[in-house]
This record gives sequence, structure tokens and C-alpha cells, in this order.
Amino acid sequence: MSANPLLPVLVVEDSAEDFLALGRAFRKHALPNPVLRCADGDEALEYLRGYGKHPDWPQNLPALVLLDLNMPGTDGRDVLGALKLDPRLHNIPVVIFSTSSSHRDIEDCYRLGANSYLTKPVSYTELEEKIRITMKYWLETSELPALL
Amino acid sequence: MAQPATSLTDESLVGQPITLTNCDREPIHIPGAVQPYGFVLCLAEATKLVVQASDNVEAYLGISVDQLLHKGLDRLLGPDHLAQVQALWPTLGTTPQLLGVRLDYVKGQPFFKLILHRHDRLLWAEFEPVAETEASALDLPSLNLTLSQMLEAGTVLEFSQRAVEHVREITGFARVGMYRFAPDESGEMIAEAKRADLDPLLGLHYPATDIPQQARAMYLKNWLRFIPDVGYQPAPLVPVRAPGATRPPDMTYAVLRSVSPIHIEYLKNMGVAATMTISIIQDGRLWGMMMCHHDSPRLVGYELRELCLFIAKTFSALLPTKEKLEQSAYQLRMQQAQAQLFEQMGSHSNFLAGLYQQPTTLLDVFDCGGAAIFFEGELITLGHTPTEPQLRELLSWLHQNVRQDVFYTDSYARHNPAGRALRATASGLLAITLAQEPGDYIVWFRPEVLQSVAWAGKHEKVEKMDDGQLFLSPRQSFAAWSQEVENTAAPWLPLEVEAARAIRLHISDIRVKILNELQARAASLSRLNTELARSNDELDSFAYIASHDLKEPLRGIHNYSVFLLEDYAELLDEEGVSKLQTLVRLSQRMESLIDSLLQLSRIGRLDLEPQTTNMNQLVAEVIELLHPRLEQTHTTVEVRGPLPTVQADPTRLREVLNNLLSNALKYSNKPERHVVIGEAEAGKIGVLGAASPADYHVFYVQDNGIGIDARHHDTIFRIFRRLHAQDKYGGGTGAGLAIAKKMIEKHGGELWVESVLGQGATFYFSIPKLIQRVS
Repeated sequence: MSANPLLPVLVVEDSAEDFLALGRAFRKHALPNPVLRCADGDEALEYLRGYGKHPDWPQNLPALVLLDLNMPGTDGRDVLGALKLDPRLHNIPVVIFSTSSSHRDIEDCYRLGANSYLTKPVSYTELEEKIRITMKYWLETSELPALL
Repeated sequence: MAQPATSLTDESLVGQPITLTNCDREPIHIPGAVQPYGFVLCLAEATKLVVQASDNVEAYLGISVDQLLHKGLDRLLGPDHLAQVQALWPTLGTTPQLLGVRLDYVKGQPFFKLILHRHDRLLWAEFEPVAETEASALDLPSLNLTLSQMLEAGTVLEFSQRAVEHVREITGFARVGMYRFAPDESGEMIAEAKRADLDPLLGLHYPATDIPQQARAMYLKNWLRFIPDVGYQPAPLVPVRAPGATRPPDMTYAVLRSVSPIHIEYLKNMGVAATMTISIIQDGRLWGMMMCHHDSPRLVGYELRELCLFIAKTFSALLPTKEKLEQSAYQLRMQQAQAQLFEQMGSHSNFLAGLYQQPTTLLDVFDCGGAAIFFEGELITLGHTPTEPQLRELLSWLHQNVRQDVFYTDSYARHNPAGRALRATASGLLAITLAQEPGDYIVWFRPEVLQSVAWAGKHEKVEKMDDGQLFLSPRQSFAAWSQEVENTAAPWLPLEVEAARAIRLHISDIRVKILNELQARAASLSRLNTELARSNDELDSFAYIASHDLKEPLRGIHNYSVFLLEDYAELLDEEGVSKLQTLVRLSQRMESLIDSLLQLSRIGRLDLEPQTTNMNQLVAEVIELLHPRLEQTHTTVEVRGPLPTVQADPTRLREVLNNLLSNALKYSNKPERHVVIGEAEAGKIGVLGAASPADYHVFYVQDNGIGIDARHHDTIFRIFRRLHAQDKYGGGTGAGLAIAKKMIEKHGGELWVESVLGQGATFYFSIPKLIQRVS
């Protein structure tokens, strides 16, 4: 059933508190996949672009990227744009996970190729529910492309 | 037009083809005859012997021509006078010299005035008899007085008047007039002294052809012409040609020269029996003539004629000063009018109004009949002008054909044949463009000269001349001239053109100034716009900060409180748990406040997407959406239809209705709640009541709820203003009505309430029938 049992989920999130809440939600739903975190856009791009280039570097691409939009330096939009233009990376589903409910942000992200857009709720209960549904959908329900 | 008189010589006129008129070819300087009020002897230059004599010599002296030919003056004069004459010979030129002589060798020894000059290789001796009673012509005190008056005269007209009055006084002519030539060589009688019983000729105009070209040329050389009796019989020279000559001698400088029969005819037509004309010459140009007329023959002695000539020459010499004086007076008047206009323009908010709404107008700047202002499609006329359609045509002609900033003509019809229709008011044009704007002009008009002057001879009959065509009567000459001046106005003077140019420059300066002011205003507006745009941007970033940066720590507070509750609940007592729960609730409330604020700030910048919206359908949709809550709260909704179709953004309108309906079922304590939705009766006006009620659709949502006290009718529309505790009536952030109001206002409408506390509330909103985008 699960096509991608052990591929990592990459979370790009600058806020430690938000990442902690996310981690709590993952654990709550016993996500089997490893969860990796990059604290900003540059780190995320370096990680994804460097994949497999060196024996010491990660050898697997993530099954899913959860991407925050507003981050210091290279922000989520830049990361999203770069990923979707990179022929080796553009197949990875990217789920935007942002505080912004602005129409412009939402439209911009889909235009850049985001696969889904979630707004971060203040309520943790809602967060848990959103994460549960999202993980179930992308990691269990959907067929993901074969990634090298 | 005729060539300037000064370019013609007597000789060149002989045998010249017809140019203007028939009489132009008459060689008037070689008539071969003299007037019989004296006689002439022509002496060969070399021999000083008589070669020709007028045949009336016999009547005066009892000596025949034959007896005088080949004789010297010693035949007539005694040795004393002869010596005087001989002393003059070497100095003699074309200027006549006068001697009083007694003819000692003639029977009776009569006295004569002997007038001598040298011309055409002849020595001319002209003899005029001296009347016994002739007193001295020179009355010095009177002359002195006249000269003083002439010196004092401020205008050319006054100056001329003094001169003609004095000449009439000393000569006794019935009429003495000053005749001035215009640049086109037509003449005008500008001053006149006359016997009371005569009709005035003052102000009359005479065509240029009245004085033929060769006559003008002669008048430049021979200042004074005298005909004591127009009915005279010319006394021919005998022989007519001197030996060896091919034509009669040139009598240009001869006092007794016999004049053209046409001129005699002309004078007779005017009822003139004796005439004396004296040239007024300025800078080698024939400026005018002093004309003396008498209705019976009148002999004026040579010395008196010389005195008149002296006055005329003094007049000529002083003339430039007087003209300059007059011109400066006119210039001064123009400058004063101009300065007045400029001041009016400066003090008027609309600078153009300063040109025509004040006591001093464009018409006062110089002599003109009318003026028109074409400005930004508007047309303002002053004085006598063509009709508006004619002016519009003129404008388009100017626009298409004139490239200069200042254009002037004394005959518009010469440039544009269609101009003939405007001749009565606008034969002459002086047009200035108003700065850069194409099609903006000020134009001054002058009427056709024909219409503005009185015509000499206009009412006289055509005289049938004996030999027909060759002769012109005054009447015919008028006809010839009127053709020439048709469609022609008085010419624009250089100083007038300069004044117009100055006005143009001034207007253009004013417009530049206004333009600068406008630009400064535009610059400050654009600065304001920039500031507004910046504050809009700041509002945008505020919205973003509200949605992201404020929410992030809020989320942290919330999450950590939840984690505490989940992870450490067993370590806390009941009170601690309750407080943590409050913390969670407050953070959630803060989030919804932030969201409301964000929503409100977004509405302003949102672009409406108005479309044809069926209100029946829209209301039904909103009711359907709220159906579960309506059931829960036992609310019935009645729609009083049918409702109209409006132009509005349906999404926004749905939100408004949703908000109003939600409020209606929220704020009630009745077990059975009733809401009515419908269109208000015609004429319902909002609080602002700005526009006509006919321009709006007004809808209402009426409930039977708790109602609102009148003092709160405004406050309920302010953001976060609530009338009740948060836990009453289902809570809420207190932003709903503020948002709904802003949405309606965005449509150009109004949202307001009518209510009495405890008796339910009716919310009205208006939507313009023609949507206007309010930014």
C-alpha cells in the first residue's frame, strides 16, 4: 500500500516552535518516515541540490517537502521556484505550509508549481488534523513519482 | 500699384504707354504755352538772345514776337536793370530769382516782376505785371504769430489747420485745404479754412488717379503752381520749338507754365476758377499739398506766393517733428491701454477675462473696428466683427495657412477670396497666436476703407468730355479708385504690429506662469500620491505583519499552552488547568481579531468584480447557506419579492447579506424569530443622502430582535465595537458590520440602520443602479 515507506519528509521551517508543533503532530500520528528539517531556504536548496553528489551526503530525495513561505534570507517562494525549475527535483511534491492566507500568496505559490497550500492554524488541534490528512493523502493515498 | 512718383522723370514720361489712366501719358511739362497773366521770353544760354517768346508779349508791350526774337534783354531794360540781370546769369539754376524791373524801352515804362531761372539749356525770363495798389506781402507780426501757433500744435491735424488758416488769411482764397497722401497715393482733405458759404471738403478722400504720376513727379520739383483764371486762353510759345530742338522746352520750373486741359476740366467740375497748390515734401516724398481755391479768377502777386511757399516749406520742415509727436502720442495711448490690459489680466483669475470684461478692452489698444478671442474652443467678440460662423471659418483659414505668430493684412480677401464676404467688418486683420495652443488666437479687425470714408465726387455726374474716353471726370476717377480699394482696410502700422506682438508675448508669459503653477500643483499632487501609495504599502505590510509576524508568536503561545495541558495536566490543579484553558481561548480570540482586521484592511484594496446579479437568487443562496442555523434558532425568513437585478460584486454582496442575516438571528431573545428581506419603498435615502434616490436600489433586512438604541446607530459600524459582552448573543469579533459597510461603500452605496431599542432593527443598504468604481 505505502509506495514510499521510508523516504524522508523534508520540513523547511525557520520557527523552532512551529517545527516542534509539527513534530508533535507527526509523532501523534506515528509517521513512519524520517523527518528532516532545514531551518532556512538556503539550507534546503543546498541539501536538495547536493543530494547523492558525495558519499557523505544524503542518498535519498525526500518523498515530500513541507515548505514555510516567510523565512529570513531565501524565502519559501524562492525555494519553490528553484525546485520546480530544477529537472532533477521538480517532481517532488511541495506542500506550502504558511501563516499567510493572502490570496496573492496562494495564487503565486500554485503558479510557481506548489502541489498544495495549507495555512497554519493557531489552534493546535486543527494543526494536528491538517497534518494527519496531509500525510495520509501524500504518503498513503497518492502514488508518487519514482525518484532517483 | 503705381510706382513711386520720385522714380519718374519728365523725359521718361514722353511716349510712355498707358499705365493707370489715359491722362498719365500727357507730357504736361512741355505744353508749349503759358498762362496769359504774364509773358515769357526764352533766351539761348550761350548767346543770351531771345529764341522763343509767348505770343501774348504783344498784348503787354505792344511789341511783336518777331521784333523780340534774336534780341537781348537790352531791347527792354535800361542799363541799371540790365546790369542786375547780367550779374545774376552765372548763378542761375532751377530756383527762380526775382527782380523788380522797369521796362525803360517800352512805351509807358511799365513795372514788371521778372522771374529768372535756367533750365533745359534756356534762360527763362518770365514777366508778371505789378499792380499799382500792391502792398508789401510781408506782415511780420502776423507771420510770427502763425509760426508760433504752428510750433505749438500737438497733432498733424492741428498743425495743418493753423497753416491753412494763415494762408487763407493772407491770400484771401475762398478755400484753403491741406491734402494728405496715403501710402496708396490716395488723398484726404485733413484741414480746411473756407468761406462760410462753401460746402466743406474736410474729410473727403480723393483717388490716387486724381493726380497723375507725371504731375506728382513735377510737384516734387516745382513747389508752387498757380492758375489765377482757369478760363484762360493759353499763350503759345513762338516758335513752339527752339531752333534745333525736337520738342517744346521743358517748363517744369516755369511759373507761367500752361496746365493740362484735363486739370482745367477737373477744376471747372469742382467749381474752381482760380487755384494755387503748394507741395508739402518730406524726405523727397510728396507728403501732401496745400490747395487754395477761389470761385472767381484771383491774381496773387509773386511775393505773396513766395510767402505762402515759405509757410509751406516751414510746414514741410516741421512736419517730421509733428508726425513723431503724434505717433508718440498714439504710441503712448496704446502703451497705456496695453499696460491697463496687462494689469487687468494679472489681477483676474481668468486672465482672458481681463481682455474684455473690464473698462479697457482689446479694442482700446489701437484703432480698430472689432476684435475676437478664440480660446480653447470658445469665441468672444468685441465691437464690429463678422458673424460667428464666418469667424469660425476665418479661424480654420488662419489655422491652415498662417505659420507666423503675428499675422496682419490690410486685405484678407487678397489672401482668401472667401474673405470678400467679411469686407464690411474685417477687410483688415491683425492676428496673434496665443502661445503654443494651435487654434487659439486674438484677432483685431478693420473695416473696408470704402465703408469708412466719404468720397469726393461720389455724387457728381459723369461729365461727357468732348473727345470722350481720353478724359476722366472726378466721378470716373472715383470708380477707378474704388475698385482698387475694395476689400482693403487702413494698413496696420509697424508700431501697432509691435504692440500686438507685445500682447502676445505677455499672454504667453502669463500662460507659462499659469502652467508653472499648474505643474507645481501637479508636482505636489504627485508627491501626495506617492505618500498615499507609501501609506497604502504600509497598510499592506501591516496586513502582512498582522497575518504572519503577529500570528507566529501567538501560535507559539497557543501551542505551548495546549502542550502544557496535554503533557502536564496531571501536575496542575483544577485552577491551573482552567487558567491554561483561558490562555488557549484568549489566543484563539486574538487570532480571530487579527483575521477581522486583516479582512477589513483588504476590502479597501480589493477590486470589485461587478456583474449582473439577480438579488432573488443571491438572497436564496445566503438563506440556503445559513439554513442549519436558521433551523436551530427557530428563525423564519420572508423574502418580499420579486427583487431586482443589480450590478454588483456577488461575492461581496453575499458576505454582506450573510452578515446582516446572521446578526438578525443572533441578536434576539425571542423564541420565534422573524426576518424580512425586501426592497425599500421608492425614495428611501441613506444618512448621507448625497445623490438622487432614483439612482439607487435600496434593500433592507428587518428583524424582530432586541433592537439598537439610537445612540449606538453609528458605533455598531465601527470595527471591534460591540454593544454586548462577548459571551452574549454568540460572541464575535465586532468587525462584521464594519466589513459589510465597507463592502457596500466600495460599491458606491450606503449601509445604515433604523431601529428602536427593543423593537427590532432594520438594516438598509443601497446599491447604485449604475455602478461607479470608488477607489
